[in-house]
Amino acid sequence: MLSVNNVCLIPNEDNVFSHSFARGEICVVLGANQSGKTNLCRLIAGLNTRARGAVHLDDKSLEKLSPRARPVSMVYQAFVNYPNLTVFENIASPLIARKASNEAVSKSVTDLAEKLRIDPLLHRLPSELSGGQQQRVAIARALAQDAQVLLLDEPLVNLDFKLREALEVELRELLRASNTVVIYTSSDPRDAFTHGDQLLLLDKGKKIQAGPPLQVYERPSSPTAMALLADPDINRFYRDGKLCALRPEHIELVGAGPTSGNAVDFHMQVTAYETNGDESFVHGLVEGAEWVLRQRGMLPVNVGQTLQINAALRDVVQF
Amino acid sequence: MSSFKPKNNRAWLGVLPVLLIVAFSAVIPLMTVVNYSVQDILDFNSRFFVGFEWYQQTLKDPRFVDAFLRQVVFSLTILAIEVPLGVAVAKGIPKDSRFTSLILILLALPLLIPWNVVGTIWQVFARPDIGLLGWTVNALGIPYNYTAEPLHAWLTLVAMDVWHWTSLIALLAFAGLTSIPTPFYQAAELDGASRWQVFRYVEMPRLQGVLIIGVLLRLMDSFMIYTEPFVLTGGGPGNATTMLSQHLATMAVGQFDLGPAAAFSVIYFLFILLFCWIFYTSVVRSDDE
Repeated sequence: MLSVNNVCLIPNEDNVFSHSFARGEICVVLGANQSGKTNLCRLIAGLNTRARGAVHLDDKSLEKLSPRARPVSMVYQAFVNYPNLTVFENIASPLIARKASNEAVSKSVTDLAEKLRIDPLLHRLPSELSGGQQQRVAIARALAQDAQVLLLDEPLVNLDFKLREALEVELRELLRASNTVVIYTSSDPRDAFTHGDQLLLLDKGKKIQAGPPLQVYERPSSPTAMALLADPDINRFYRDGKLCALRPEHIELVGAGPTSGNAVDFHMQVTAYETNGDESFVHGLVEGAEWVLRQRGMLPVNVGQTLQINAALRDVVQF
Repeated sequence: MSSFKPKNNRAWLGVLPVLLIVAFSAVIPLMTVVNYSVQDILDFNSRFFVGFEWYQQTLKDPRFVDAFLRQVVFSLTILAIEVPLGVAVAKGIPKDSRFTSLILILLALPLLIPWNVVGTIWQVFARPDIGLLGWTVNALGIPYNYTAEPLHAWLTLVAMDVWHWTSLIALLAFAGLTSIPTPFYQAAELDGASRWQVFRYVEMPRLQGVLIIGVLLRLMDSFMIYTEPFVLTGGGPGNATTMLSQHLATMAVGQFDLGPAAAFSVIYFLFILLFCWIFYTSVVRSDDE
């Protein structure tokens, strides 16, 4: 178990962060830019950062250890490989630096390359690979260290959509089968559901909620927590002086949605409509607030018109 | 497209100014020199075509061969010192301190000083009687006199060039180093790379490009060095620090041997071209492998 205690993730913020990450689980750390995700990774890895605090792995303090001595490996957002070493040498580099024997090196490199499907590329240079392949090499290099903590700092952000999806599925299978503490940072709510056994929501250096992703989705502790898991933003309204919120996917046009007994009704003044054929987004004003609703397929909506919309009572989250 | 539009050569007009400038600044002077190099010119009204005679004579001339060897030794020496030293200096510059720009300005200062002033500074600086360097070295009990001892003249000349030009390599290398994103250093740190390995596998690959330019500039420039040794030692003691350019100036301007001097110039030019080509192709080729 990796525990981080009383950490100040963002300098000049008073928020203090503590959390325990379990072995054999993938924990997705979700937060906007500047929420302290990267600082958390750097702190655990022992790299230069302004974050300060205690890090323990199985009750042993890591604080005094140099990055090299820590059982931690890391994958970055940028595709970081050694430019003048071949793929084989790149994956082997952490093993060679730790003076592993030749047979052990070539065995683990071949194994990892097969798992990540880069075995035909072992003799190429990183510059001769596509972005997805370069990131596979970087991931293989991180896995080669066989570290007890694996940090993935937004590893798939720089990949294009299709490559990203392919790698997402493989990565999940690779990471599940180990006894490692895996920390995966992201700003995309989808990652929480594809990768996460556990989800940790981070805002301005503060832990706002943690737990299994679906549980967090169903019972968000605050509007910020709910908004972090929503894409696009949540829709806010007040009932009896209390703040309530609805996710964009839970709002329906009247007639298509729930029957009036179990539903709450609204009028929406449409200000914009966008669609890609598969999904549609309707933006508009409801009770003075800006709302957006997401629907499958295309909708017969015109800008300027007033829509009758409703949502099931059970989907309304009250704070 | 040609079927839609009448053919149009107007773009050539746009290139014309460049062609004219290059013609007047490079091609015509060079061809004049080539023209002189195959003639014996007694005065401008009596010239004789002599073919490659001047070329043969120049290549056999021991003074040319000596100056050429001195030149090669000099260029290789200053490259061997300036490139590693420049990289070391660049690595020592803090990347994001408030002193960074001050350090860069201080480093750039020697580059801004005119060459003959550099020569004069060192001529005074190294004088055994009144120069700070010369006097100090002698006071330490080491006899040092660059106007009398060829070795001392050489050391002074090399020191002067290193002082003058290491900054150029340092600034280029610093630019190369700052272009390396921090995750590369962090990854190497986590991999357990030593400082030497970080330099070898993270920094060197990215410095290669700027260093090729730096070495080419210094190679060409040092091969053409004239002003500084001329001011510092006048090529002496004896001919100990007479480089190719100074030998050439003596022939062309001092003795007015236009034909041999022209042949010399052409050979000189071709050698510089050849060295740069050899260096560039060997580096680029080894890069491809």
